[in-house]
Amino acid sequence: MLLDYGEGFDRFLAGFAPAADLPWLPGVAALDRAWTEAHAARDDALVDPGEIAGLAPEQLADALLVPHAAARWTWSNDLPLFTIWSRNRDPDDEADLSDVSWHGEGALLTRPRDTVRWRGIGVAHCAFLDACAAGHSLAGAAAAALAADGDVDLARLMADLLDAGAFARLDRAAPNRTDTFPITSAERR
Amino acid sequence: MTIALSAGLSLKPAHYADALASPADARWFEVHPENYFVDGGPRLAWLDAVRARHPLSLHGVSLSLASDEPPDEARLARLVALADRLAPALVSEHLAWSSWRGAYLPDLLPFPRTREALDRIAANVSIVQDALKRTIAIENPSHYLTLEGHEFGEIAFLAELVRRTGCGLLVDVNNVYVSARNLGLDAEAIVDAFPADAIAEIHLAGHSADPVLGDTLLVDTHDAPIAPAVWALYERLVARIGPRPTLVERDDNLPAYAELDAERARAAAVLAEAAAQSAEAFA
Repeated sequence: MLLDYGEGFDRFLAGFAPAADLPWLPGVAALDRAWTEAHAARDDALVDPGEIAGLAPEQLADALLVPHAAARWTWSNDLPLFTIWSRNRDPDDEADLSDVSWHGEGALLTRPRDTVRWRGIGVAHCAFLDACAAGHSLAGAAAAALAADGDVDLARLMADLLDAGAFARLDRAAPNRTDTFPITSAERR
Repeated sequence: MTIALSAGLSLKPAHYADALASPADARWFEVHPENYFVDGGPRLAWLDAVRARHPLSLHGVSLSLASDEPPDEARLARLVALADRLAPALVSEHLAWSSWRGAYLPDLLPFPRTREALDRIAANVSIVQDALKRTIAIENPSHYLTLEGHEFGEIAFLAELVRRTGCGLLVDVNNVYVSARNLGLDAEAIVDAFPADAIAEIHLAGHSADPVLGDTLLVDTHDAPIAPAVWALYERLVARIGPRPTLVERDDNLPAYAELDAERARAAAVLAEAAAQSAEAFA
């Protein structure tokens, strides 16, 4: 089905010998697929930031932020996938990308209403979102973010993700309240 | 005589806003349901908005009814969900196949019209109609070469399908013209032979000559205005059977909305004329 367009293309490219000189290609294909998934995802609510602000710290620690149905995120340890992908999507950007600095990058795609939006995010943002998607409480997600990047500003991270429209709702009790850190995106790759 | 559904247009994303702004005057819009097999998002939101103002038709291209297996369950379930959401005025598919053992081909392919084919296609049409809880219209495809092994002529085959399943017919006049030219048949005789009572919808479209073979091979490209010979066949058909919902199809080389709408208005005028004549006949 058209809905499945691009599904698995990144995995095909990863094993496609003629493209072996283009290490960024599978990741860029994965971001194209993420755009399609975000565009066609079911319509979902957006969490009210006021609801988060209204909780006492201990309530907040036990609560779960549920990712929005259209939210997709990826992290690469060594490739500037978001820069390559987003600059290629911009019809006004005719740069040859020779000025791209080769470092790891994360990408977050969201569709809070009708339009798919994207932004570069850090490894801590990805770890935080992974933890939320796995059902971990905000305390667990914050720990995962700090484990991925000890210097991260958690307040700024939350503001970024809320501004992007990455969360659908706040559940007062997270289903996964263990103290073990979730696996982070960085460790997974 | 009031026409509930007059002439319509195939709806392309480039024309969403024009469709939405056009008068609700018995015009209607047709889409390929496969393009809306999504869980949510802007595509479905646009279609909902158009549906709130105009009747819709779902014209399927992937159920592969002539395959030797039942329609794919996931696609059929998606179609049922979309039809439940949109309550379309018309639902149609093709007398063709396009998938084999899960592999999908980007074309509507021919088959020998045998008794065995009739049995399996009638069964597949019934599966779809039972799932949708309504009848669908089956379209005559374009033909590009003479296939061996037919036990039925195309219209006899379609008429038998109607008799067995209660389905309707979608007469694509451009497909009749293209097929007749390619196979050396008489297009007027074909148009005259379709069983009038079964015709639920008519399609009109443009075609192109093959870039290598020229006029000896016409291709159903949907990328040009409707040809004069196709208009003449259409007028002949409507004069015989009376007004039926008629679609102007355009899928490629998309012109401005106004240009397509002028073709749609011409078809609507043909239908209005036929409606006036049948009103006179009953007066």
